[in-house]
Amino acid sequence: MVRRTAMTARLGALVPVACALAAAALWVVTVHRANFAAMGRLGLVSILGPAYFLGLALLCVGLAVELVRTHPHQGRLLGLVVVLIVYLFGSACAIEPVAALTSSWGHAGFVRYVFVNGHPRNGYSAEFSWPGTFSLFSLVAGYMGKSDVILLLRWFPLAIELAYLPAVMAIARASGVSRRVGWLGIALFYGTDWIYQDYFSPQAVNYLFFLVTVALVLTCWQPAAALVSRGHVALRARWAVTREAVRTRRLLGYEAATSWPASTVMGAFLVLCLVFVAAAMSHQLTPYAIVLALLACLFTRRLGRPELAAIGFLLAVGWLSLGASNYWLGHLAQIFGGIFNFGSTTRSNLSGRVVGSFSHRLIVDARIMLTAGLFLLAALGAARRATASRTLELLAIAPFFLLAAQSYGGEGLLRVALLSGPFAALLAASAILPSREGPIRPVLRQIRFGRHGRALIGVVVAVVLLGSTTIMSAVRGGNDYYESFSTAELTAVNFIYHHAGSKQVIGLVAPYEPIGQWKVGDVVVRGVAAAGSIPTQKQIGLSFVQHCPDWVILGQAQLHWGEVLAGYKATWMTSLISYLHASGYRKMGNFGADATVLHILLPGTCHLPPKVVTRR
Amino acid sequence: MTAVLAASAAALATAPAVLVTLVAALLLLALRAWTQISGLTLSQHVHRLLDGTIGALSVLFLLLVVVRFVTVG
Repeated sequence: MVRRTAMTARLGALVPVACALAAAALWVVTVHRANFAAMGRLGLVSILGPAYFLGLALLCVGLAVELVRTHPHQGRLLGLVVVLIVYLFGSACAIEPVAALTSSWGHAGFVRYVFVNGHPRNGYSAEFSWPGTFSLFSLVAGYMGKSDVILLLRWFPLAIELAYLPAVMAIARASGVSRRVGWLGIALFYGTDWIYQDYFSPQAVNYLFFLVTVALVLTCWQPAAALVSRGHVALRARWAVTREAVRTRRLLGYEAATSWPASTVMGAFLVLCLVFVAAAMSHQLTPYAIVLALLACLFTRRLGRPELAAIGFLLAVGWLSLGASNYWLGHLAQIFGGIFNFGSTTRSNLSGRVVGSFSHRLIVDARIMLTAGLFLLAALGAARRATASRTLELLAIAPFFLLAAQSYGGEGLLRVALLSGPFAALLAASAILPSREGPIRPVLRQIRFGRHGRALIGVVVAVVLLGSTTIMSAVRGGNDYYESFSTAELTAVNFIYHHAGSKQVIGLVAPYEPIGQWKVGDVVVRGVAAAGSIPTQKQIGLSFVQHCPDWVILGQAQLHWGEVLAGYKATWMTSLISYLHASGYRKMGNFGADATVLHILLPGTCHLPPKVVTRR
Repeated sequence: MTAVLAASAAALATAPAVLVTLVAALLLLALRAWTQISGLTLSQHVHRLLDGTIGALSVLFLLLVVVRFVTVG
């Protein structure tokens, strides 16, 4: 009998390992078979194939089996999560021939500028007012023996997501949830993180700073004393305990304790100050998110040094006032005009994005549903779990206060969902596997599943993970139809940069090409639909004739943008090329069907096509 | 801070005034944290003096930032 139990346990341990190995093999098959050129309007998911989803299902089953075991093995869970991250964030990197998203190429251009000139360019871009990340990577480029970081762009999303993992693991371990909940929360965090902010950018690096800060604070300080007795507590008593959160004693950090030696705490304090300095000069939003997270920790007895929140805030405001004056000079209304304007912020963040063709709206709706589902599950988790402090709840809510400041160019809500993500995911995991230990009792009563409880929970875990990761796979690459680029497009862009003279202008219809990596500030890149507006086809032609850019690049990414977001006919680009030919542009080079480069031989000699002139 | 620096709003809005108050506030905050972490016992009077100075400097810093926004921006 004992022998049979041992055999069963050993077989049970083999299932997750077999699942992980099979999933890894299926991922290799997926990547090998995927045909980038066949990508459809739904983006990356249209070329992934059944092997990908079979592998994903195996991974979710493996995770569920390991999580419901009596003693889950940390090494096996780590292995499964790493394979999951490769699935969700590495597929696009492996399949798409060059790095996606125009912004990542633009950032590579900023890095090169800093490397070559030794300083950021004044008055060129708002992002140059926070040049920390560009300086850091210009240093990395130097160590690589290169003058740019273009080599890093393609695999950067996978690398940075893997870099988040140790910090997220530390948060899960120190946040007061069980190991089991922690791993499920980590899987859910990655399984719902569709927000494409991990491309080569300052925000991706600053998200790492944010996670490291929270991880270090939660690991260092614990609540000093229990506040409520065991048993169900009346609402009045709960309110009294909540009021404790704003007592001076707590705000001065006296209700958090650490078991670390003083020298280690001082070291952690100095490291955090360095992280704050780096964050303050690298990104507009993240330093304030860090301050809000620190306040959340302070209110819930998880931060013993309130000076950290003050230092973080003073550094962020100090850099804004002194280092980023190029950004705010003349734009104060734009920066502070949106304070407490929640209506406008919500419109620009939510309804303003649900536009375009049916396929695009489907992707956007699925994204909203996935995030809403995560937060609903998190709310349920907050009500079901017993805990020592409500740190996770407050950390999940804190980033929403950023929306009170401004809409952040219509991306504020995305950033808030990203910043809340790890904590909401841990709470969501608590909805499935709630903790029963802790002085703060759950709001909802415990549900008993009987003798098949463990199997049932295993099924629920597998279903939730499979559902979220499948939707995530579909929606994360949902814009790749027009945000990913072919090799021919990159060759065409490089051709233009090679031939373009100083102060020449490169024209695009929409900002969807791998452009901006060379000659920052010397060659101007100008898009007709750059401000997010969607012009008519007639307006595009007239705009090119009116502004007469020296070079025009038209690629398949822009063609797809026209089909999916602007609602143009499939032949719109052919018509535009004919129009520009008739306006004086000549085709340069041969880049196949994926890209067309047009050049005006005599600058400023664009004219309306003869037909249009006759009509007038 | 010299008298010249506090002579007018435009002078207050210059970078040195903001920087000086920022650095002073940061140093005092670091000092406060160091005394607490290393278990150094401060008298209540010194404690209050330190907290009061940090508060005053922080408020002054924020005021100077606002003045800088208004006059320069």
